Amino acid sequence: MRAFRALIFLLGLSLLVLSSVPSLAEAAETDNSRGIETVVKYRLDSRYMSQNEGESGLELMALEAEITAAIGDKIDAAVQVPLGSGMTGRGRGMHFGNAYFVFKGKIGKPTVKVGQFVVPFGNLPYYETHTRILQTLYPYSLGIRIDPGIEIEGFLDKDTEFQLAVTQGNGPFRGDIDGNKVLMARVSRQLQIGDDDVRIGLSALKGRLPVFSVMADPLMEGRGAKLVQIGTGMLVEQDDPEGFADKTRYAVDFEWYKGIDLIRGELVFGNDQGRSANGQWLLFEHPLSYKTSVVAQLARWKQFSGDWKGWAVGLEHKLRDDRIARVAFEQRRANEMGMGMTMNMLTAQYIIEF
Amino acid sequence: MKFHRIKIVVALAVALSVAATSSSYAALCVWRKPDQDIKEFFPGAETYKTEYKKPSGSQEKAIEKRIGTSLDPDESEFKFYRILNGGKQVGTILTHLGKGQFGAIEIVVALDNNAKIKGTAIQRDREKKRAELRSDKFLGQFRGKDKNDPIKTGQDINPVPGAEKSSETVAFSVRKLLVVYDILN
Repeated sequence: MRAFRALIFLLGLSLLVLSSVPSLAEAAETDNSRGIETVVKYRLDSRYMSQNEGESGLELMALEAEITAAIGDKIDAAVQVPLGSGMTGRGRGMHFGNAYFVFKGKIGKPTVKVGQFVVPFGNLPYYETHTRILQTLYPYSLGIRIDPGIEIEGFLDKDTEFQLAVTQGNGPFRGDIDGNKVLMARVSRQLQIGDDDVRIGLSALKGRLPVFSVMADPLMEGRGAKLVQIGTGMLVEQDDPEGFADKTRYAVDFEWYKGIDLIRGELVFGNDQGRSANGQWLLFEHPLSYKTSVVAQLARWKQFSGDWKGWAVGLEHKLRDDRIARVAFEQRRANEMGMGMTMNMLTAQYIIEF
Repeated sequence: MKFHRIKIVVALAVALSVAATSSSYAALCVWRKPDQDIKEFFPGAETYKTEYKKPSGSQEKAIEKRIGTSLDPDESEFKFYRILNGGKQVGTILTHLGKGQFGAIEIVVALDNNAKIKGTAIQRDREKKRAELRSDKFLGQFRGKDKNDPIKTGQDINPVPGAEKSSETVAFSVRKLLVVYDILN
């Protein structure tokens, strides 16, 4: 594990050094001689949140650099560097930590990804949740989003894609808490039906992963979000191995470009050490113009300790191609161990990319 | 303490809003299906490598003069995907994010080594006549064209009926990529 962490550190450091030349033009020119091309993209994500449970106020969600590199025609690399963020705990690890190499084979052959990456389960490979206010089921369904490991991905035919991955199951920049590994597989197929584009994915996962209390939002509550023990239902801290469970998960996900609308969905089912867990998530996005769109979301999650149901509506507007403003209202009703809670949250977000 | 934090976030957002107006930023359009596109446009090719191209001030002006409008804020850099076979370059693929009526139209253009179009594809879009826009009847019109062709709807490109604006967005993206390639290659 130490060697793996050192590898990730060296990757980040190397890419930072390569990308620290005065201008991108010079970088491209200089790096050509070594067969290395790098580019850095910066992002500021600031949010104002008002909620009835927990703190309200303005937050710096992320000031980050995303560095990508192409090393000849054989290797691509990417690293995400959080320069500043108010996020803490395992919620931070769900947003930050990408750092990986992709080893490319010949055209048509699978590629191999090594490092810390977004795990290939459900809609995660195709839906970039990192910059969104509204999230999918992964914080509860998996308990992680980015994890260290190895992934093989490729195509079975022109329209059918697959991913196979082995990861450690404890999130980025953390040691393997139990020595167990998480195995996952996903296959998806792209279809064109009349004027509609549809992608359908099937995923399966088995391994030991954290289980969050349904009364907590791991993304918003940082280190305060509790894990729950499967045997006793007791709440424990995020690094307590008792808050992990042997999970089995299956998912059907889809992405449906229906005319001008986009509908995404995910059905998850499985168990935590034999105790049922399941959830459903549906997102509808309707564009009013190139710049403006409205979204609506329905979601539900149920596990051995309790359940939550939620809905949300939102509005997105591009001020420019590199400036996005979003506002969303989300309500969740959660029940766990005889306790009930309703959470209302209004979030306004402003993103600048440069 | 909290008020102090708010001031920092606001200051950062305002500073970056101002500073980022002229800063560098990579074009957003990703190439989603390299394998399939290479198989379709360059059958037999073995691999590809990515070259980043950032136009200088004079090159930017030259591009803008030829396309008749400003580059987008996120177009300070372009990616040239060099397609290789046996170590030799057999062509280049470029991508562009066009502004459709209801969202981005992601366009892929494959060029041979003489900068003639070998093929054009749409990766993603939110337009109303999706199947017709992606048909060979429409996209096939771009094949064989180069920087000397007008590539405009109503001139050498017939638009998809009922999707005239979307058709012109595609044509403009192709035209822009040919100009970018001509100046930065």
